[in-house]
Amino acid sequence: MPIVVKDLSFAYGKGTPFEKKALDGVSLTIEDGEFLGIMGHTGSGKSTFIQHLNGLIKVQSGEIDVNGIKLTPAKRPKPDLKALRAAVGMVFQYPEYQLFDDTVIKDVAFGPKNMGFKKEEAEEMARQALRLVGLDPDEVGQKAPFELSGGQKRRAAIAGVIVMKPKILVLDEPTAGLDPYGKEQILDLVLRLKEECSPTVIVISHDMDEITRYASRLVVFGEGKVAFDLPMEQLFEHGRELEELGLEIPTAVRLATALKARGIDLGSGIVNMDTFTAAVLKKFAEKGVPVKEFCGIDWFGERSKKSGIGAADDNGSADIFGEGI
Amino acid sequence: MRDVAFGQYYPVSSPIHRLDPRLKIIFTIMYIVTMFFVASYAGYALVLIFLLSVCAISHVPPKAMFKSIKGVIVLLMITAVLNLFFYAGETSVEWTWWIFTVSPEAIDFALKMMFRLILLIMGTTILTFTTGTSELTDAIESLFKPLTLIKIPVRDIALIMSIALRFIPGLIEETDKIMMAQKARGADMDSGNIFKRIKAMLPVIIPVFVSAFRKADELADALDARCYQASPKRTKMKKMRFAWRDLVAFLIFAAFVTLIFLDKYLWGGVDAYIVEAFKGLIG
Amino acid sequence: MIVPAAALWYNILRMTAIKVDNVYYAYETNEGEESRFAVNGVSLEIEEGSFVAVAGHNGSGKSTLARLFNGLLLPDKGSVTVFGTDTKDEKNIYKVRSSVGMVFQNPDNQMVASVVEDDIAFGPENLGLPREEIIRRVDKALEQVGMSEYRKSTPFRMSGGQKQRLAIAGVLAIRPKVLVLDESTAMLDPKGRREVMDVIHALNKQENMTVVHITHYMEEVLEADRVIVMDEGKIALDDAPRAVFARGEELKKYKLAPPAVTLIAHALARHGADIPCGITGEEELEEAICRSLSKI
Repeated sequence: MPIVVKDLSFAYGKGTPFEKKALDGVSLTIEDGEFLGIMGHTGSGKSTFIQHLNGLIKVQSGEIDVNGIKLTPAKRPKPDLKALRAAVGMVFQYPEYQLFDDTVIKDVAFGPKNMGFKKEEAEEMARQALRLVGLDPDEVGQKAPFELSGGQKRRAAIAGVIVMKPKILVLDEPTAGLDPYGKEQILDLVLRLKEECSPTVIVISHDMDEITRYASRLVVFGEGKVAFDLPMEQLFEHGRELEELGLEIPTAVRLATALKARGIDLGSGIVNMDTFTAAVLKKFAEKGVPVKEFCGIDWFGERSKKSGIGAADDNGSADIFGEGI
Repeated sequence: MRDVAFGQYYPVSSPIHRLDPRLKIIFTIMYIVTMFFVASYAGYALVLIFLLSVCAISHVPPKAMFKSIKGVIVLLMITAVLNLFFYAGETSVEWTWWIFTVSPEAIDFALKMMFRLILLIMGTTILTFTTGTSELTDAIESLFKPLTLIKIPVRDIALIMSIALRFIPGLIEETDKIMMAQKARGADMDSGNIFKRIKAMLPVIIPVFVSAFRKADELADALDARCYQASPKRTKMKKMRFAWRDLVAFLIFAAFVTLIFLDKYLWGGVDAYIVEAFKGLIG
Repeated sequence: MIVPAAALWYNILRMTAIKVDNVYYAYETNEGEESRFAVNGVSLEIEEGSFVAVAGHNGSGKSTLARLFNGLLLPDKGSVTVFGTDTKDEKNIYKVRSSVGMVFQNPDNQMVASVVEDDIAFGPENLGLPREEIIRRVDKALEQVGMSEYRKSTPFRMSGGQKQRLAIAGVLAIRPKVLVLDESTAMLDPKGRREVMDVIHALNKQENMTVVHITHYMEEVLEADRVIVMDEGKIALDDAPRAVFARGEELKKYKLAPPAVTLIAHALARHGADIPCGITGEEELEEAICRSLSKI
C-alpha cells in the first residue's frame, strides 16, 4: 500500500491570533515494505504529518492517497475513514495511557468491535494480537490494565492497534521513557510485527543511534517541511544542517569521519554501529587478524537467527536480525 | 490545540489589559447585575455599543467575542423557544396554532431574555480575554482577603484556582491526544443518539481521568518539593496598585450603569418614547 | 606522617550532603498482597559538590530513593540525613526540602502559575521571604538557567527543554544545596536534553551544586563523577562511570546497556579485534583503533 502525499500544508488555530503553521508543502511517497524513520525536533511537524495519514486531522490543503483512499480538503466524496483506519494502525506516544477497559482482552478487542466484529471474533483476534506482542492471553487477558508492568502495558496498547492487522503501522516514539532493555525489546517487537503483520512501518524517533539500525530510509522534518529525504550515507554528509535542526549525527558516523581524518578510510555505507563495527572488523581481517563472523550488535543476546549485517539496502529491507526474539 | 474561545486570554497590550484586575472583576459582577435591570431594546443597544467600544479599546477582535457565543448557541435557542411558548405573564392577544400559543408579550420576553444572555456571555468573556489567569486569581485572593478573618483559606483556594486554570490547556491537549488514539482504533464519537455518544466517550473519559490523577500526583510532589506550606506567612512577589486609568475606567463604567438604571426607573424604558418620536417623524 | 594528616583533614573538610543509612521503604499495598521493598537496605553517602548519576531499569527503586532524599518519602527503617538533619525530624522538614531541591519528569506537571516569573516566585513565597528578596531570587534563578528574557511569558508554548529549565529555575529559587533530577530528561528530545544537561553541569561546576541525576540515558551517566546502579531496590554497582561500563556483561544483569561507543568497543573486542572493551569516549576509541591497526 503506497502512501503518496502531495503538497500537504496545515496550520493549527487557523484564523486566530494563535495560528501556527505545522506543515508547509510536504510531499512524500512511502512505498510498500519500507521501514521509514521520521526525525525532527519537537514542533517540526512530524507528529502532525503522521496524524494526517489515517484521517485524524482533516486535510487543509494538499492531497494524500493511501492505497487509493484519497484525502483532500474537499468535503465530498467522503473518504472511507473506517477502511483507512483499519489499514493504517497508529501507536501514539506513551500508548499505555489510552488503555481504558476493565480487562486487557476487552481493551485490545476495542478496535475490532468498532469495526463491527462480534464479541467472540473480536476477542479471538485480541488473543492473537496479544500473542503477537509477546503477552500470554491466558495469563494477562483477564487482568486489569493497571495490574501490568510498564513494559507489558505498552505491549498491550500496541496489541490494541495491531489487532486489526494494519498494512501500515505508524509508531510515534515507541521507546520513549523506557530503560535500555525495554527499548531493545520494543524495537525487536516492531521488527517482528513488520515481518508478521504490517509490511510497512513508519517510526518517529529522536535517537539517531537507534533509528539508523532499524530504518531502511530516513526522512528529516524541519520547520514543517521535509528538510532531507536522502539515502542515509548521503544524509549524514549534511552534519551541520542536521545539527541546526536539533538533530544529532549517529555515533558511528562521527567515529568514521574522525577515523578518516586520521587516515583510516572505512569506505562508504557507514550509517550505524553495526555497519561501523563490520567495517572496522574488515580492516582487521585485511591485516590478517583472525576476526569472528559479525552479525550486528546484540547486547542483550535475545535476537535469534541473525542473517547478516545490513542497513539501508536498496530493496528497503532493514530486517537485519531475522525474526527477532 | 483546539479553539477554546471562551475563557481564553488574548495576549495583547491594551488599556483594558492594564486595568487593575480587581477592578475588572468588580466591573464584571456589576455588569452581570446591571444586565437584569435593562428595561428596553434601546437599553440593550446601549449595552452592545458599550461592549463593542470596550472591545475596540482592548484590541480584541469583535469576532473573537462573538465566537464565544457559538459554544452556547444551542442552549440559547432552547431557552428562547421555551420562553416563547411557556410565557406565563399577561397577554394582550394570543395566536394559537395546534398546541402552540404565542403572544406579542411572549415574543418580547423571549427576545429580551436572549439578548440578555448573549450580552452576559459577551461581557464576561471580555474579562477573561483581557486578564491573565494569575492576575485573575491574585485579584480574587486580594478581593476576598477579609474572609481570612473567619478562617477561610483564601490563599489556598486562590492557588487551587490558579493551578486548575493552568492545567486546563494541558488536559484539553491530553483529551485531544487520547481522542485521536481511540479514533485511530476505529472509535466513532460523532454519530448516534446522545446515549450512544456518551457511551462512546468512555474510552476517552476514563484515560483522561487517570491522566488527571497522575498529573495531580506529580504536582502534589512538586508542590511539596517547593516547600508549599513551609511558612505560616506566605509572602507575595507582586503587588497590585490602583492607577489613574483605573479611576477613569470607574467613572465611565459608573456612567454606563447609571444610564441603564435611569432607563428603567426614571424613564420606564425609552422604547415607547422612541416609537412615539418615530411615529411623529413619519406621521 | 604528612600523608595521614592530609587524609584526615580531607575527610573533615569534605562535607557529606546526603547520608543514607541502611534504608528500607515499601509502598502501601492492598490487604492480602505481599509488600515488596522498593528500597531494600540501601546505604550511601553523597558528597557535597559531586555529580552523581543514578541508573537502573524501570522499577529498580531509583525514583523511590530520590524521594527519600528530600523527605517526600520517609524511610520505614534506617535513616536519611541531609546536612546533618534527619528527614524524619518533622520540625525541620522544610529545612530538608529547601536544601534538597527536586525536579521531576514532566515539566508540565510541576508548574503552578501561567506566567514564568509567578511560577518561579512560588517557592520563595512559600518560604515567606520579603518581596525584594523574592525578586532577587527570581532574577538569579532565571539567569542561572539562561531564561531571563522569558520572564513575562507563559510556558505553555515553550519547548520541552525550555520548560524543564524553568522547572529547574523554580527549584533553584529556594536556594537548595543539592539538586535531584528524577528522570527530568526522559521526556525531552536530544536538544532539550542537552540544554538541561548543560544547565546542571554549569551549576555543578560554577556554584558547587551537588547534583543527583536519575536517568536512562547512558550518555548522560558518562558525564557524571560517579554512578550508582540500582537493581531490585539495592545498590548493585557504585563506581566511576568508566569502571561501571568496563564491567561489560555484568550490566546485562541489571538490564542496562552501555552507551554506543562502549557497545562498539565491546563488539570489536569480542570479535577478535585488539580493542579494550571499557572504552567510554569517542576519541579514545578512535585512538585505540588507530593504534591497534598500525601495530599489525
